[in-house]
Amino acid sequence: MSERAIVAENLLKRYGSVTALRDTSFEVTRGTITGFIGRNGAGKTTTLKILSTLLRADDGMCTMLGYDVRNAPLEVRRRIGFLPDAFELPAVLTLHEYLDIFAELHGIARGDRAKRVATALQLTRTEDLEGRRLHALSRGEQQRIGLARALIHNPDILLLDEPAAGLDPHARVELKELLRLLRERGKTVFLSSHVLADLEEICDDLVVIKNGSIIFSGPVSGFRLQMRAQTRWRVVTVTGQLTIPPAFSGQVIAAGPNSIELEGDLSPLERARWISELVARGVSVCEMSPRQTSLEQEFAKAVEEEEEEIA
Amino acid sequence: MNALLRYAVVKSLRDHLLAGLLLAPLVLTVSPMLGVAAIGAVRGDSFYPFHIPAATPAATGSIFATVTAIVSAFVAGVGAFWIFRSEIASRAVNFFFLARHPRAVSGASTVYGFAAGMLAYGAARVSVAALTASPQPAAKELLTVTATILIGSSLGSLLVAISAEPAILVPVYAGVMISSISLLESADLQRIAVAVAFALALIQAAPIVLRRRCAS
Repeated sequence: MSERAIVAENLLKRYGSVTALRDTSFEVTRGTITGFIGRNGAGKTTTLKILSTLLRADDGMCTMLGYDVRNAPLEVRRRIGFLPDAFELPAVLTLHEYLDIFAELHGIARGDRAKRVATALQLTRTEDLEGRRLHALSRGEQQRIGLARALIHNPDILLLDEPAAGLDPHARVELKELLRLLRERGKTVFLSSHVLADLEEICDDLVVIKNGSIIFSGPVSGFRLQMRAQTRWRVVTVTGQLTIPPAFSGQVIAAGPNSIELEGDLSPLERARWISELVARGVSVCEMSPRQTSLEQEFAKAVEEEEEEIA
Repeated sequence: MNALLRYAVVKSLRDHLLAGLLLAPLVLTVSPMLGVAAIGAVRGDSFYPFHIPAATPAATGSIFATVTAIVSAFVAGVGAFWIFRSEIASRAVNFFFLARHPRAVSGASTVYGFAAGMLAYGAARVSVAALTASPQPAAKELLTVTATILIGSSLGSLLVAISAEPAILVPVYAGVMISSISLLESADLQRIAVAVAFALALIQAAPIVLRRRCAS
């Protein structure tokens, strides 16, 4: 069995004169959580719609668990659950009716439907909403119900477009727990989000898209490496004048009378020498701590670098 | 398609669309008759069997049977148009496509509209026959009305795939009028067959249009 759950090769999609995707290629490994990041309008939703068979690419190839989205859409649909960024729920139906109807639509036998509905409700923690009609719901409740619908037929791959949008911190924690649980059960999760801190926390891999082109695809650590992520060092003193270590090739991010923040590579030996020098000059160092840049900062940097190259 | 029809029926029972559709031909046909009968009763005229003053009860029954058929066909069109209208407008219909082919969605809306139209026609036609003491519809009349209602519902499900704006019900009404006049004026089997073939062509076209519209 292939380890690749999703393979996209040279996808091209145009809307009139606007090219939404150009030569878009990436892979998603089975049983992982992969974050899909990009600015608004970068092509995330278009890609997700193509993967979910709802939209046809003008060119290129895409397979989900080995099934071609163009030639075997029914096979693909059986294996995926899709949560779009915005959707409407039928206000007059109860949650139980809604999920039961979708279970039937997916061809689940009458005898198994109650169990499937109960599992989806339990996974998404929506049991308390089961008998309630689908109106006057909070954004978080709507998202959880959408997830329950996407999970009702026990799909192997979940495609989630901004699942954390509008969720409060507690609901976001619950969503992350659910996604981890799904990964433990062998599901593949491919999700787009603007909450990069959350992605950094739960994702194994990242796919970064900019203006319809993939600028990175691989492990989160690989993205940091590609972006030449450098550790920031913060030094705080009690007394004395701080000086930059000799032969330091990095950047000074911030400097105050008793503290300094540097970005750049400092080996343990260089750090030890620097502290010794400072102490020898009578400077009392009370803190020297590493501060790794956030994924958000790396993403902003990646986008800026691309823009500079284009300019 | 069963699940989609269950969805359609539960939803339209709760938001009262189904009640409105089923009662529309009855109310639209019987209300004027009752009004005219009431005026007749006040004047001391006989009001049963109901008849228009210058016509016999049988002729009156025939006129109102035609009205019932046209209103029922329009009801079928409105039903087919309206039942998945909000899902199509909001693209929530894509959830159905992930589980079923668009044919099932268009098919369910056509079946829903057709069933609503036929049931509404049945209730209104029986009432007209009872009020005018005229005979129940013959097989040929039933066949003609069935074809007209089928055209109404298939037109409704095609047009909602083109646009979910209620203004597009005007072509549904025009289509129903043209087919009704054509069939009710001279209902030979050939015309009925052409009407059914036309409706089947609309049924085939609807999922293609729907799929294209929602894939954006």
